[in-house]
Amino acid sequence: MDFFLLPTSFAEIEQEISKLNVSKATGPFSIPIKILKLIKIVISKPLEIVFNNSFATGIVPDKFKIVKVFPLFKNGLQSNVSNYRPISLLSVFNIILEKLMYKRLIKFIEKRNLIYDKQFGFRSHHSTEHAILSIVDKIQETIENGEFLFWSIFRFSQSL
Amino acid sequence: MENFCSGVFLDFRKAYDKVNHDILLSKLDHYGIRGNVKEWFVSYLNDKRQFTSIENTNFEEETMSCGVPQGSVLGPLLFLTYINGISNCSNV
Repeated sequence: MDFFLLPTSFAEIEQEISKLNVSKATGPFSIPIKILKLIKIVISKPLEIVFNNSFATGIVPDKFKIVKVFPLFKNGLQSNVSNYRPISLLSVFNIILEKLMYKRLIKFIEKRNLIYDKQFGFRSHHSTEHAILSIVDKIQETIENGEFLFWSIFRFSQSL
Repeated sequence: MENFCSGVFLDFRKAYDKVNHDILLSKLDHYGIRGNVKEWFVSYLNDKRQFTSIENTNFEEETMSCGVPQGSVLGPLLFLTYINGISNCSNV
């Protein structure tokens, strides 16, 4: 069955605005999250129209797609470019729209078990500890069966 | 009976920046993300523009022709979908 996109409602948008972190920086074409929270009841209705139109037409507004990148210094020599990490900032309205899409997409993916079961990163309720446990379990299983264990670690540069 | 057990560890460099849009979209299509929703993702990925800003100085906008945006909400999930099934490439 294909993925069907449920429309959003002003109530859902209000809820998403409530969950936004006030201390987070926002990108271009944003308003401060603090103000957005104050006006959430008023703004959620026009946003409902914009977001539902986006879902129905399959168009993401151009202004939502402009990313502001600034270099964040990590450590080491300040004159070395590789000592900076790029931080991307997106419009706060884009973040809300993405969250609405994320909720719908993850529900579809989880329901159909599309993600590989040994994938531990970038998933809720999964962590690096699960990955370690899984490896340790494999090692123990091998030892118990009196088998050989061969382990190789690769790092690919420019792999994609 | 003695069997071998092997582990292969991969590390993607600049993984997010190098996601190929066409491959990602065909992967989404494969999982049943079609029609309007697929169009939405085409629009989401197409013509993404970014500019660098250092101490209030904004540099020229550049179009991103590949990659999923870092710091975005959907980025990690799209990347997961993109690499999903990589373990099926080998049956070692």
